[in-house]
Amino acid sequence: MDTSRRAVIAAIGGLAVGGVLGYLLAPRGPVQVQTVTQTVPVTTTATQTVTAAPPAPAKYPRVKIANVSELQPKQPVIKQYAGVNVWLIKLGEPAVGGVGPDGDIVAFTTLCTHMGGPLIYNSQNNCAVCQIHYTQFDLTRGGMVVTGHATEFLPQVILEFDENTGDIYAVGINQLVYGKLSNL
Amino acid sequence: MSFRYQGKVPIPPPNAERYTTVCQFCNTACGYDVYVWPADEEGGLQPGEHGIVYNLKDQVYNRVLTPQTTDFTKLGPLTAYQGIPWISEAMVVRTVRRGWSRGRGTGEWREVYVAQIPSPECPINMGNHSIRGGTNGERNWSPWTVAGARRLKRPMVRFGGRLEPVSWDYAIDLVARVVKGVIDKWGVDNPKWGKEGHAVFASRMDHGGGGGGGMIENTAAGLFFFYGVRTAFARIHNRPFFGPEGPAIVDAGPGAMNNSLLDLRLADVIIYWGANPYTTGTVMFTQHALDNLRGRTADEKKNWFAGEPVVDTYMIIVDPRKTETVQVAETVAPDRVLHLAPEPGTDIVLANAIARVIYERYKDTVDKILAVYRQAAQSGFKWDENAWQLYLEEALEINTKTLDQYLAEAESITGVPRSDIEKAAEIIGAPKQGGAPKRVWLMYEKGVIWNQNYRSIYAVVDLCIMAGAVRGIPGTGCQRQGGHQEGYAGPAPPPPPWTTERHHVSPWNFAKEKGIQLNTYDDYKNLMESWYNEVYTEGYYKTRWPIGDRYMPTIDFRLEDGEGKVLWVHDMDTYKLGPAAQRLKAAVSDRSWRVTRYVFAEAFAAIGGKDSEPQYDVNVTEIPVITGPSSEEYAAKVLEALEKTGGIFVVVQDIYPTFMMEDAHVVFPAAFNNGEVPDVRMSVHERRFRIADAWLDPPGEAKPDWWIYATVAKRIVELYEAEGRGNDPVAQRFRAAFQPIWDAMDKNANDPSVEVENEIFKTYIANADETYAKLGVDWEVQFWTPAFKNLDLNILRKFRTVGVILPLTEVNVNPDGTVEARGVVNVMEPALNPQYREEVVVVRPDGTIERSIEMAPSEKAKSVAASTLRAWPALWLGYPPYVEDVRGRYKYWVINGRYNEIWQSGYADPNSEVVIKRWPYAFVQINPADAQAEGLENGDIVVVYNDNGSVPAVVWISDAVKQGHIFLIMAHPYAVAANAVTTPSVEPVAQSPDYKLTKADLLKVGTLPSEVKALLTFKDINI
Repeated sequence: MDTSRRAVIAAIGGLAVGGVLGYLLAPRGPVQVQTVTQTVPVTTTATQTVTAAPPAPAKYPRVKIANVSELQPKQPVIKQYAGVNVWLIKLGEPAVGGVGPDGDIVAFTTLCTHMGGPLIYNSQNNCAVCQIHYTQFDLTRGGMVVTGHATEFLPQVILEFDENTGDIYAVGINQLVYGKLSNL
Repeated sequence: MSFRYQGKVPIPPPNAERYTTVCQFCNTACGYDVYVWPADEEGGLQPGEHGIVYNLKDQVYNRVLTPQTTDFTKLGPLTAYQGIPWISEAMVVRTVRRGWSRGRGTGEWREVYVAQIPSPECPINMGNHSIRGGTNGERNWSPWTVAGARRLKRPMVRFGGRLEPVSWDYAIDLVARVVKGVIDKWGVDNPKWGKEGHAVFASRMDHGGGGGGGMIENTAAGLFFFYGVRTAFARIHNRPFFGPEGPAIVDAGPGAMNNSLLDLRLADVIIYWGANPYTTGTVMFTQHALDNLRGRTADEKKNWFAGEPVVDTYMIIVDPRKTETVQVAETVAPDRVLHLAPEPGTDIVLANAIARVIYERYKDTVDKILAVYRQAAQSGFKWDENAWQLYLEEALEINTKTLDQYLAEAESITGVPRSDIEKAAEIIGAPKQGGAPKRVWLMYEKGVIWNQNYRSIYAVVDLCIMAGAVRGIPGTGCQRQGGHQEGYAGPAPPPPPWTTERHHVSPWNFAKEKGIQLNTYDDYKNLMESWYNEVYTEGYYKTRWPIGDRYMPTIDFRLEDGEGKVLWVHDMDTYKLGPAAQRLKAAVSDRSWRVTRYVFAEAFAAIGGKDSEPQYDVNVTEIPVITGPSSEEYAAKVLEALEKTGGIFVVVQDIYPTFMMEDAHVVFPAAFNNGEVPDVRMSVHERRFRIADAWLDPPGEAKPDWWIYATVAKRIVELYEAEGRGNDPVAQRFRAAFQPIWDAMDKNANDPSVEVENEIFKTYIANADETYAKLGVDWEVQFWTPAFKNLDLNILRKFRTVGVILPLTEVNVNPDGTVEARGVVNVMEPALNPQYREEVVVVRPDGTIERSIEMAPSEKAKSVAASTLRAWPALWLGYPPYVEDVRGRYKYWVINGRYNEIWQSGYADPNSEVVIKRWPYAFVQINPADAQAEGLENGDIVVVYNDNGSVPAVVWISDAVKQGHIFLIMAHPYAVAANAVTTPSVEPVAQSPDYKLTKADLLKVGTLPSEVKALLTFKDINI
């Protein structure tokens, strides 16, 4: 449904129609509701399309965060994306959500999704372990919790890879990041 | 969320409804705040803009939370402890609920958000949580989630081959007629009570939490089965009889739950024996044990130690596996953790060996500790000197074997190196500077409870007596970890028809029954010999019949033997959690289908008969109407079948489908006592007692368990009245038991703000003494004291997640609205010391909760303190017979237990993404060397099998297990797992199964497709 417009059907007698329709389908955030009253003297029904202007839903930016040439296998690099620190790592084994010629370049946010503790990367098994309560995330499996107490897998940055230039773009984050109540 | 991965969670607005509850899962019982609000409203980030309000002054842990502290603009690492919790997507769900303006269950349906957030107020978790509890939110039912789709929502009855939805009237009438008919026909006459319905077998939980249970639910089940029906034949989810799980520690004196998390924080030595708390009692370990191990409780220790030195804490972990608990502890404190890995079943020997070394090498320590018990004996405490001497002589063999001999033998049996045994003894027994004995805190769980239960627990408790862990002073403790929370309440179960009393066959009950006097040491020695002889040597080890069955009958064997006419299964899946589950299933399934085939014989016969001839009558224009039997006809046929076929009628009452549903004749959909029905229960680690409130309507037509029992009971009484037998003793029993509940239901029907659960609580729990006196039966409400009479659900609501500590010494409700509760922190403390710690919780009229600990004179708690301390020699007798059957013939010890994320039967785990994506199948851990020898790799599929059954599992290679051992998950949402291969072996005194003692072989049958392997992790746990 094209939510930038509202189709309003007006009939005899000046029926007021509000914008309650479809709030389930609307993007998150305040929904613009327009009430249109129209009195038509002739006994015809007119359909009038009114272009409303709800605020554009927040979108993840597309940001170039690195070039593949910067990356050494199993050497995480800290980057910033959408207001958070992220690790960019070339894991050396194919990974869920991995990009690049070997499908092994991934990026994750760096705070544990249990209570926000600091993570340490273990290059031997490509896992990240929190130093407070020891949740272990498998970075080759979308940040799956190997064992531990985080209620979300480690949020993964959705990456795109430009084969021609070797540039790596961050285009989104797949879950709510620790410390935020809304990623955007 | 209804759908995950939104990257956003809504915040409750200031006017959101607020409830408090305790986690539905493990025994730690973390507190949760629950918020419900219309889905089109939302709060803001700053105090006053949202509805997450805390109001706590906790003097014990030095924490203050006010409404001003919850400022989400300051959300950051670990801020949950300061009252700013991060809300993950797993904590919120979008669902539907009625308006509730006139009371629960009233009003129109509307869309709401429900957020279930680990509470920073609760002294147990302080905002921390496990992966299980933290995903409580998304396990609430919703029309848009797996959690909602899976719920049982309509009563169902089996017509021919299939379960079909029916009305409640039909289902209730059918079950009532069958139960009444079974009591009428096969009831056993009791001159005092009338016919006892022993042919009705009840499989019913006894615990709190874990997706079932709490005092209200337990009361209703107890009133029905133990008072109305009066059957002695009942079972609990994890043992095939109805009785205590670990009576040895009750016999020894301290009881199974006796100290507190404060004691854990203050201990010098922490011992986990057969327990893996990182995965099964998480926050108790990750918060309180680690705080201690990390040295963060040093100031608290100074506060409580009265000048005694504070030392570096040591931890001893006894487990055949190198578990997550071991790994985390060794990472936190590499030089202060000792891991002992005995061979399965040999814990008795290990505990005795450590005790023997302490006794020989740390005599001063032992003498100081014994002096405490002997001193208390002078003022009436029952310290049993003869029993202690017997233990030294017979179990520790102080005069028959040298220490060297003893240790050599222990090493050989347990596989634990002698030097480790000595190291453990040193950690425990070596005094602190200045000579004070260490404050020792020990916790045991299923590794001991499911392994020669009575003797293993006693051996560990004897060690605790030697080590002074039962002295009661701050920092000491000896108790079980627990699986679920606890909340048992109800009338006592009747004895089986052939005896007059239910009891477990402890040495003491044995002596009483035989009339053996216990005055001299020789009396004790003779008791020991005759008890071991009758219970074990000539008893279980020879005949395989557990003597405990005489007094607390086992139902699994009887079901397989054709006994029982009705099997009512409430909130458990014995096809998954019962030992040798596949054998049980084969027997029960066969018997259940005999009834189905009999009831529908005509219909079955018609298949392939005349009615299936080709028909093509062009004149037929009416739609044929097929009527099934009425509930009365159905019930009549069932009773005939029960007489003629040896079959059994199966009722399943649950919230999610279980394996047993495949054989059920009737399915009752229950409302969930985590969020849909209020109940009360306590944490195992400090007996912290709270309400688990209701904030949702149940889905579909699901009804509270109390409603189901009360309505069936009512129908049974109506049926007696319709026959002119309204005064039959059976009818009178049901009437007497349930009349208060019926009255409350009537009141609620006229005024929905009258809460039936509160009436049940006030009648049967708060005033249990009066109510059960009227009913003329023994009863139990865990840790009940007269102070309970001042409680009701609304008062408990005021205490939120802080709750009150049982046993309560006082509850005071003041006219200005202030409420105060006082309870005993450590029940050994008032027994052995002049003063004891009393936790005081005060709720002010404005909602501020104040928690503190005061010292009170021990006389005040005399009636609730422990009164006995009595050791008993635990002897290793070799493996029990059913275990010996498999031991020589199968290769691998099947260590079994929990995988961190999967809870118990896995009933709620498909509802949570992080959980079910992690473990979509049952996994089995295999040692790398064994895997290589078997030609196995990660992701291969093996069948684990022995004589009792077989189950497929996915291979996970891990050095957590030793060679010759595998670790198979106890149960999985989609698989029976370990109980396919567990044996029928039980401990004869009280019949807890020897789940931990079984062996099996493996056979590779395939491997997971590579696409699936690419989505699963096989990484070894490595922190």
